[in-house]
Amino acid sequence: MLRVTFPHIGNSYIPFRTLMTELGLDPVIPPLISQKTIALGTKMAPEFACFPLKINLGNFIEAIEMGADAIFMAGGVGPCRFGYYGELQRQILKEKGYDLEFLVLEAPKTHPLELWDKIKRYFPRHQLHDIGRAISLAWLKADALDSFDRLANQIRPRVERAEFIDELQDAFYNTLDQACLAKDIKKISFEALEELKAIPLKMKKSPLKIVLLGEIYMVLEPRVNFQIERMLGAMGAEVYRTIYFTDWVRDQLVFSIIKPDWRKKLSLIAKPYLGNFVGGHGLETVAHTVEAGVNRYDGVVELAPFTCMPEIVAMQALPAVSHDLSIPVLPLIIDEHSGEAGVRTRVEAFIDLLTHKNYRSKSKLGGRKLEALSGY
Amino acid sequence: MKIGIPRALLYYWYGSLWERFWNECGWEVETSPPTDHRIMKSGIDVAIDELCLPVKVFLGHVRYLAPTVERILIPHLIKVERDAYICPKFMGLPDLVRHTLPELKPQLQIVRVGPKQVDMAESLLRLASSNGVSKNIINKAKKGLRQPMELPGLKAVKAFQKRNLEGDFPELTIGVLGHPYCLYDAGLNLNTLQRLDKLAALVTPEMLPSHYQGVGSGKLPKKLFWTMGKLQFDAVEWMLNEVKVDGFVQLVTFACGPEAIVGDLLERRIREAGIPFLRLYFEEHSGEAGLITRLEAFTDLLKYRRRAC
Repeated sequence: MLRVTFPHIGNSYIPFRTLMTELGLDPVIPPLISQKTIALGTKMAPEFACFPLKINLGNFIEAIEMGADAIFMAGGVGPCRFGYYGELQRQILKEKGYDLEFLVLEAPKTHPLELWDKIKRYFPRHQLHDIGRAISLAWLKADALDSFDRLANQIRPRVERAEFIDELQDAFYNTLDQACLAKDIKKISFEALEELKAIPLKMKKSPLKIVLLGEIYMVLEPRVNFQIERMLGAMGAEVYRTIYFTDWVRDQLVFSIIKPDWRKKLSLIAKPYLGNFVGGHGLETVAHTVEAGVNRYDGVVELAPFTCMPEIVAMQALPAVSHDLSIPVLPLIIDEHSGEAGVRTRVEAFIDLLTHKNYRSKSKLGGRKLEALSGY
Repeated sequence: MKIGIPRALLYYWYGSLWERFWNECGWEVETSPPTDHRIMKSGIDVAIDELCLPVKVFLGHVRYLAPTVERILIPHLIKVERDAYICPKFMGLPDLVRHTLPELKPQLQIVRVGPKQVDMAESLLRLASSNGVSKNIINKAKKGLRQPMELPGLKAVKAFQKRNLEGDFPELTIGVLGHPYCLYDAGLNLNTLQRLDKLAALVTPEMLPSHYQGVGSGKLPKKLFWTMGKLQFDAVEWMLNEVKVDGFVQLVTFACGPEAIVGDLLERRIREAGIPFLRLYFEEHSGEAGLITRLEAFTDLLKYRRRAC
C-alpha cells in the first residue's frame, strides 16, 4: 500500500486521515508541528519564502523519517505564492536526496481531466461510491471539528476554568480521530457538543467579542499561532474565527465551480477600502474587518506570516477601516523568530485596551467615542 | 492638464509609452527625477514597515510629484499577460496609495490593466476617452503607440553595449537578473549596474530577443504565474545558450515575495549549468562599501575561473 503524507494545517489531519484510508492508501501523519519541525524546514527553505512553506517542509521530512513514500500537496494559480509551493518543495527535497513521489492536486477549475487521471492513478479505490463515501465521512469529521471549535470559542471566556475546555477539546480530537463509522462520528460529535453545553457558565459580564482573521494557515494552525484562540479565550474574549476548514473547502473547491461569483459579497463589502482581489485572503481580511466594524465587535486580530504579500496589501488598508468604523485592529506577523512571550504581551495589552474602552464607553461617558483608542 | 509620472516600479517598462501617449493627447507630462535619498526617505516615512522597498520608493515619487502636477499616473497592473500576475502589491497599488496618502485622492489617475483586458495601450486609450480627450487626438495617439519604443532603463545599458562593440571590450560578460525596478533604478540599487559595467559587459532580461520568449519558462514542470519571474527564466535560458555569460548577478529587494520562490528556482537552474551566481539584497539600509567589495570579488573570481578553463 502506498504510504502517503500531507502537510499539517490545523486539525485537518483528522478528516484527511479518514479520506486517505477510505481511498485505499496508508496515510502517514507527520508529528504535530513542534520547534523541531520549524527548525528542519527553515534550514532548507529559501530565506524569504513564507512561513507555511517552511513548516510544510519540516512536516515532510518528519513524515519521510516515519516511512512515507509519497506526498500530497495542493496547488494553485497565483498570485499568492502558495500555488508554487509544491513545485519548489519537490525540488528542495530532491536536492536533499529525498526523491519521492510528489503529487500536486490542483484546483479542478484549470485542469479538470488531469485531476481525474491523477486520482485514478494514485488511489486504489477510485470507484465513484468509494470516493463518495470517503468524502462524506471526511466531511462529517471536518464539520464535527468545526462545530465543536465554534462552540468552544464562545464558551471559553464564560467558564470558571478555561483550561477545562482545552482539555475537553483535546480529548474530543483524539476520540474523533479514532472513529471510522458515520454513526460513531455523529454520536461522538453530538455527545461532545452536549458536554460542552452542560458546562455551567458565569454570566456576570458579557465578554469582549474579538474577530480572528488573516492568512488561512496562520489562523487554522494553533501550534504556529501560539494557540491564540485559547489565549484570547483565557483572557476573557469570545473569539469569532472567520476561516474554518469546511468553509474554505466549500468556497474553493465547490463554489468556485458551481458559483463562480461567490466572492462577490465580500468584494462589495471590501470595495471602499480594497478595490479588487489581491490573492490569498487579502480581500477577505479587509471585508471581514469591515463586517466586524459594522456589527460592533470589540476588536480584530489579524494573523499573517512574515512577507505575506496579500496580507501586507490588506494591512495597509486596515488603518483606514479601523479609523472609519472605530474598530481596533491588532496585526500580528509571525515567523520562525516569533516568541510566545512577545505575542502574549501584545495580545494582553490589546485586550486591556479594549476592556478599558468598553468600560469607559459604557460608564458615565455615554456613547462618546474615544478617539485615542479607536485606531491601533 | 499636467500629469505626473512616477519614475518607479514598472516605469522602466512602460515609461516611454506613458510619456509619449500623454504628450500626444496634449497633456503636459512631468516625470519625477531618478530616485535619490530624499525621495526614498519620503516614501519610507509614510509607508507601513512591511511593504517592500520598490513600493516605498514609488510612494516617495508620488509625494515628490504631488505639489506640482494636477494628476498623478498610478498604474494598476493586475495582469499584463493572460496567464500571469505581476504581484499582489501591484494589484492593490491604487488602494495602497489611497490609504497611505489620503489627501492625494482627487489627483490620482489610475490606469487599470487586467484582469480581462491585458494590453497597456488599450487601457490608456480607454482612459483618455473617459477623460474627455477628443477622438481625433486619440486616433493619432493610437498610431504613435504602435511604433517601437526604447525602454527607459535600457537606454543606459545599451550605451554600455555600444561602447563594448566599439572595441573597448571587457573580458567578461555578466547576466544581470532581477525585476526592472531593481535593475534600472540606480538610487535603489546603489548604482550597481554602472559599477558592474566598469568590470564587465552586461546583459539584462529586457534585452531578450523575441524568439526566446517562453523558452525558459516553458521548461518548468509547473507554469509560473508571475510575469517578471517568467521573463527571468527566459532570459537565463538565452544568456546560457546564446550569450554564454560568465556569471549571473541577481538583484533582489529585501522580502520580495515572488523573488523568494523564483530566485530559488533560478539559482537551481543556474547551479545546474555550473555558472557562478551572486545574489544581492537591497533594502533601505544598504551600504555602498559592502556592495563594491562583493562585486569586485565576484568579478575577480569570474576572471580567474575563465583563465583556468
